[in-house]
Amino acid sequence: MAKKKEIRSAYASESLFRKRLRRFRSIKRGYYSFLFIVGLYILSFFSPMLINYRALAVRYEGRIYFPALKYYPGLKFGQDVYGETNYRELKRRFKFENKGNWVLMPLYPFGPNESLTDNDPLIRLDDITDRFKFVNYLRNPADSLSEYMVNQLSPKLRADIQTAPDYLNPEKSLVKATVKEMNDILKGVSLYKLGFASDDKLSESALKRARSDPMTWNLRWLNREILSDVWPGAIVKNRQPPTPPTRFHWFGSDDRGRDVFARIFYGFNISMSFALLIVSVTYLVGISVGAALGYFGGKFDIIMQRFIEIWSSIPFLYTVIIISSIVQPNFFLLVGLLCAFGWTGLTWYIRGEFYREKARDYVHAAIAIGVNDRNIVFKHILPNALTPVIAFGPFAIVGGIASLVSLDYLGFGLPPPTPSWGELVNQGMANIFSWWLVLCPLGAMFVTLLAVVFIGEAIRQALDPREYSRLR
Amino acid sequence: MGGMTNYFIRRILLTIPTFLGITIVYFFILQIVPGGPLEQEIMKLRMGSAAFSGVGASATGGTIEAGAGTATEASQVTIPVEAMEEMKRFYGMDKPIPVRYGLWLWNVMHLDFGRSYVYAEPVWTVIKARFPISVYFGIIGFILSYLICVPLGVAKAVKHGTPFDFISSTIVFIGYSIPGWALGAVLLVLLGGGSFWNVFPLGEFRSENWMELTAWGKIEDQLYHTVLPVIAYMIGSFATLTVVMKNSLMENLGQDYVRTAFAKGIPERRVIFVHAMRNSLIPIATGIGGLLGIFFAGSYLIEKTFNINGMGLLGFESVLKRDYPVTLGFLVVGTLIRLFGNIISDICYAVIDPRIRFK
Repeated sequence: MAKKKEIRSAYASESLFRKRLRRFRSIKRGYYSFLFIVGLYILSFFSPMLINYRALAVRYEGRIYFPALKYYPGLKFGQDVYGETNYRELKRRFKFENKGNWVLMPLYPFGPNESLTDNDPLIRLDDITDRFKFVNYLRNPADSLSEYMVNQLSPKLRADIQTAPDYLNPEKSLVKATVKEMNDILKGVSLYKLGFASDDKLSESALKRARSDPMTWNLRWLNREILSDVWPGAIVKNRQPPTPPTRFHWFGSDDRGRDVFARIFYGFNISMSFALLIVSVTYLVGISVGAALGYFGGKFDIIMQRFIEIWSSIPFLYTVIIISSIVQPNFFLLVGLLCAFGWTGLTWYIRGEFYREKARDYVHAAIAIGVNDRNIVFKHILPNALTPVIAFGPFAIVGGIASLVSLDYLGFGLPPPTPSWGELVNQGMANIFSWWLVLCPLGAMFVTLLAVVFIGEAIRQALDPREYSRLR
Repeated sequence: MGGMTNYFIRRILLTIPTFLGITIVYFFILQIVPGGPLEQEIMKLRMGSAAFSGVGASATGGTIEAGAGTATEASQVTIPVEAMEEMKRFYGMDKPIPVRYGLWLWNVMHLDFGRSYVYAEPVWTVIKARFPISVYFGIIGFILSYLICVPLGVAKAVKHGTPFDFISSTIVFIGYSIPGWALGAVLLVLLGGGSFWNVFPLGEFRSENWMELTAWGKIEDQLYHTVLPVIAYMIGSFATLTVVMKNSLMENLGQDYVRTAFAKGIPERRVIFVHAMRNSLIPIATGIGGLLGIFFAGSYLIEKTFNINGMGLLGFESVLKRDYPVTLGFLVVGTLIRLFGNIISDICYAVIDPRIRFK
C-alpha cells in the first residue's frame, strides 16, 4: 500500500495551489513575515491575559479568586482603598506579610486604560527643580526666592553644593549631593516603608538587591508621601505625564498617564482587525458586483458604471470627516464607512477582468459545450481574475491600517479611550519633547506594515508565472 | 483618429453628469447635516445672551464657559422672529433644498462661488490665497519625484538582483509602508529640535522674522522649512514610481526586440536608453495628468503635521467650521481638476502609445 502511494506521489503532478504555496514558503522574507504577523495577531487576542492591571489569580485566606473575570473592591482583600483593588500593591503587601497569600499578575502588569498618575507617582530625583532654584539663589541672591524655601534645604546639603567641585554645573552637583544625602538618611529605614516587599533595613547590599526586583519600585522612583515621611523638608515634585520609557514602562506613558506599551499592543489588535474586516468586506462586495457587471453587462452595467464613477470621485477622507464630526463613530460604523467608500476600486478592476476573460476562447468553448453560467463564473473565469487581486490583498491591508491611523491622528477615528496608534501620535505632536509618543506607535506601525508589505511581495512573486529575464 | 476624438469628446461630455452627481450628493449631505452654520449662529447668540443676562455687570460676553453653565437659560432665550428670518435668508435656508442647489449652481456657472462664512471674503479669493503654497510644494514634489525615481528605477532594473537593488528595495518598502505624514512626524521629532537633533525648524512655511532677513537669509530660511514637508510628500509617490519604472523597464528588456538589438552588437547603453527606455516610459508619462493637480496639491495630514497653511488645510477646516461656500467651492475646483486630469492622462497615454485605441 505504501509503495503504491509513493509511486503515485512521484508521478502525480503538483496542483497549482500547492506549487504557489511552495514558492511562497521558499521566499524566506515573506514567509517569516507571514508567520510573525499571524502569530502576533493571534497572540493579541490573548492580550487581557498578558497585559493587564488586574491580577490573573489571587489566593487570599485560603480561597482563590480570579480578578481578571470579576471585579473585587479593595476592601475585599483588606486593602484600604475605595474602588478597585490595586493588585500590584496587593502583591507587594502579600509578599511582605508572608502569610501564604499570593497574587499572580500578567506578564506586563499595566493596563491600557489605566491612568498611572493615581497609582504610581513617578518621581525622579533630578526632577527636584525647586532645589535647582536654590542653587541659583545661592549663586545669585538677586533671584527672588522665598527664605522659607531656602531654609528647607538642610545645612549639610547647602554646604555640599557650595563645596562641590563642579558647582558651575549646579544641576549635576545638586543631584549628586541630594542622592548622597538621601542615601544617608534612608540607611536604617525599613525597606517596606520605602515601597519594597521586604522588611530589611536599607543597606548598601539591600539597595542593590532592591534595585533588581522588578515588581517593586526602583529606589530612584519613590512614593512622594513615603519620601516626605522619612526625609522632612524634602521638596519633591511628581513628574507630570507624559513620562519617558523606564524599566517598568517600556514605552513610557502618554499625556493622561496611561502606559504606552499596553496601548500599542491593544492597538495592534484593533488596527489589524479593522483592516482585515475592511479588506474582507470590500473584496466580497467588489468581486461579486464586479463579476456580475462584467459577465452580464448590458444596461445594468452602463448605469452602474456611471454610479460607480460618481461614487468613487467623492473624496473619501473628506466625507468620513464630515460624518465623523456629527456622529461619533464606533468601530463597526467606521468599518462600514470605509467599506462603503472602498468597494468601488476592486469592482472596477474585476469588471474589466471579467469583460476581457469573457471574450476569450476558453469561455466561448465552455459556453458552446453548455456549461451553465454559475460554473463558468466560478470554475473558469474567477480563478484567473482573482490571481492579481489576491496579490493586492496585503497592500489593501496596509491601506486599511494607514487609514485608521490617519483618521485617529486627525481625531476623527475611533472614540476615546480606545487604544489607537494615531491618537498617540497626535499627543506626540502636541508634546514634541515626548518623543516616545511619536516614535513608538509609528515604529510599531512601521514594523507591521513592513511585514505585511513583505508578505505581499512574496505572494506576488509566488503567483507570478514568469521569471523576469536577466539582462545578461 | 476619428474614433479616438469621438471617445474623448464623449468623455469630456460625460464629466458633466458626473460633476453634477457629485455636487448634488455633497450639497445634499451638507444641507441636511445637523450643526450647520445656521444652527451654529443660533447657538452663539443664545450663549451670548445667556451670559449677559446671567452674569450682569461683569459679563464676559459670549464665552462658552460663561454660557455653558447656564444652558437652561440659553434654551429659554428667544430670538426675535425677524432676526431669525434674516439669518435664514442670509444662509439661503428659507428656500427648499433643490432651489438652493439650483441657485448655487447658477452662480457657480457664472464663476461666483459666494462669500466665505468664516472669512467674509469671496470664496475664490480665499482659495487663491493658498495657491502659491500649494503650487510651490506641488512643483517641487513633482519635479523631485520624477528626477529621483526615474534614474533610480532604471538603475534598479539594470542591476536587478545585486546588493544595490536589495538596499534600494528596502528603502522603497520603507517609503511604501509608512504614510507621508507619519514620516514627517518622525523627522520632526528627530530633527526638529526637541529631544534629539535640532536641524530643521518645527514647521510652518517661513519663520516669523522672515521679512527682516537678508535676501540670502530669506532663501535659506525658506529652504530649511521646505525640506521636511517635501520629503513627507514625496515618500509615497517615490515608492510607487520607482517600482513602476523598474518593472516596466525590466519587462521591456525581456522582449525580443531588445535581444535583437544586442545581437546586432549595439552597445548596452544605447540599447537601454534609446530603444528600451521609450517604451518603458509609457506608464510613467501617463502620470503627467497629475501635473494638473499641483494647483491643488496639499494633503491635510501633512499640512497639519507641519502647520502649513495650504490647500489641504483649507479644505478640511472649512468642513469643520461649516463654511459651506468654501467647502463647495473647494469641492468644485478639486473635482474638476481631478476629472480633467484623468482625461489628460488618457490623452497622453493614447498619444504616446500607438497601440492604445479607445473605443
